[in-house]
Amino acid sequence: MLKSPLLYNLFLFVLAVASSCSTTPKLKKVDSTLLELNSQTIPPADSSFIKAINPYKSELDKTMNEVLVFSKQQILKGLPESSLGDFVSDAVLKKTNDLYKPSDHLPVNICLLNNGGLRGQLPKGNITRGNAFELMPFENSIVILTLTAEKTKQLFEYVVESNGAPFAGATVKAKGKKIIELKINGQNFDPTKIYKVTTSDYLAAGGDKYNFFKDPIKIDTLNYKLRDAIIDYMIEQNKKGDSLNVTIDGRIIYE
Amino acid sequence: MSQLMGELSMNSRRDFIKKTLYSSAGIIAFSAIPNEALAKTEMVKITILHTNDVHSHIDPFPDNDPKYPGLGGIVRRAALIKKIRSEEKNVLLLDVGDIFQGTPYFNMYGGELEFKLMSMMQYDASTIGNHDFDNGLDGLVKQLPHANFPFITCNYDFSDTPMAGKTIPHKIFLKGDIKIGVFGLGVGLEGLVDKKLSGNTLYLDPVKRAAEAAFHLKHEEKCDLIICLSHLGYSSNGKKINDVELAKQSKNIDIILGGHTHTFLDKPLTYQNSDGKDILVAQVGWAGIRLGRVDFIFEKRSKKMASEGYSIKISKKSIAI
Repeated sequence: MLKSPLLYNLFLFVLAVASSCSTTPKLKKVDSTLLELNSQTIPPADSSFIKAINPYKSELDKTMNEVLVFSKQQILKGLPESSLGDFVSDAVLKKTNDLYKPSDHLPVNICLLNNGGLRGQLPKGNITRGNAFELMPFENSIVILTLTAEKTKQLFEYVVESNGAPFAGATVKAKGKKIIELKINGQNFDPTKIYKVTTSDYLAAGGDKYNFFKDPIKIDTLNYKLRDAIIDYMIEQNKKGDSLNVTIDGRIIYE
Repeated sequence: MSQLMGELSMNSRRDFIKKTLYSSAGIIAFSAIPNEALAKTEMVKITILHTNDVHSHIDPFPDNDPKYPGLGGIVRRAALIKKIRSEEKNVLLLDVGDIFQGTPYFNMYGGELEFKLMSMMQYDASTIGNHDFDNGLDGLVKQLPHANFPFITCNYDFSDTPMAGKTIPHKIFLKGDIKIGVFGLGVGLEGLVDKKLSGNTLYLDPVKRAAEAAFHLKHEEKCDLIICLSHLGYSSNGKKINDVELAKQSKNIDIILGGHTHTFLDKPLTYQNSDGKDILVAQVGWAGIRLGRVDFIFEKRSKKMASEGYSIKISKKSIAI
């Protein structure tokens, strides 16, 4: 939609005003052109704004400019599958299972988030704490829902019908809006099993109308923010000496 | 005595503008109206500047941002607004909500700086977006002292919440003898805002409330120009009420300044309202990447009101810094 980054449309028209005052003025289109905001039209910065922002910014920069990890390529948002969706849901699934110590000793199978909840994209190169905040600005915390097989199936039906969503721990093949293959943790979906899903408290509480999350068998909370999980995952990768090298792995395929 | 005469002449002038305006066949889009031509024909230009979904984007996007490298930034926007104010007499600066949430400025300072800077830019009013609830109603109330502009909404009933009495349903601005009525609409909260955050806020039917507000502003307050600040969203697959649907079902509204869906419209789009009259719908994306501008021209003798609108992209080149 941004046709030209440095230009804005200025449709030039003039008012052809008749010389006689008693005549009705007519609005007449004459020409249209593009006007560049060039050195003549550039307004000077108002230093009072810079002064107002600086104390806040310098305080913020102290923590937000910290480099967490290096990324080999841009990590971008999109549907049905995106590198950003894959990355964030993988990170949240991994960090959930690192911290989750349930009495039944059964780990979390799946992560499901929402595309609208990913608010920024990650650049190639250094990824800062600030980037992580813009990607996940919300203070939402991780919750683990234990779902029936039926609800788990509804979850993936919803994902397929809504042209994808960020998820991890499963692969889905669909024909049109119908699931033809569903694997969870590498195994065929089992209608006799129960599954554990990690997600945000926002989605678990009815955000984005994820109705299959209503009335789960069990809800566990971790008191752990989604953003912190992402940040911790990045720091962990960096400590291992790894750069991020995220590509779409084809976990959802429409045939 | 002379003061009375002044008032009389002003009122009759306004009546004349109003009469001629609403008998016009519609709104005619045109642009770059030379101010000298306005003076010659005693026309009045009202310049509406608008933003939406700025989402705490105070700094420009960094140069390595995948999507908006180097764009936006409040310092540039402020300079552009200042320049427009120096060129135009009758400027109204409005925001359509979701001021909060999106950068660490909000996480760290809770919206304080956003409100302070908007006050410095002399915003005339804003409505409330769903993300303005993100620190709860207490979080919003806490920041209100930093905003010297009103929050306008007519379809959130806050009476049983900490926001009670802290919003107004509409406001009338008088600019160059033109009476401008502004009212605001918020988006449905269910499935969007956690109940913990919105508390006892009641969401009222936006179509009904808009009809009442616009009728009141036009027929009781006799406004010449009626602006709706809408955080409903530009369009939403027909499932939910949105700006396009509202425009078609409405009466008495001249322009809907929209938000919520982060839609980049290069200029306002024209729809027909339920009376078959033209109504404009505008929205300028998000994050302060663009500033929307719509000029309305009121002519006293002709039977015309005209408007022209476009969005100005805020980039490095748009300001010397």
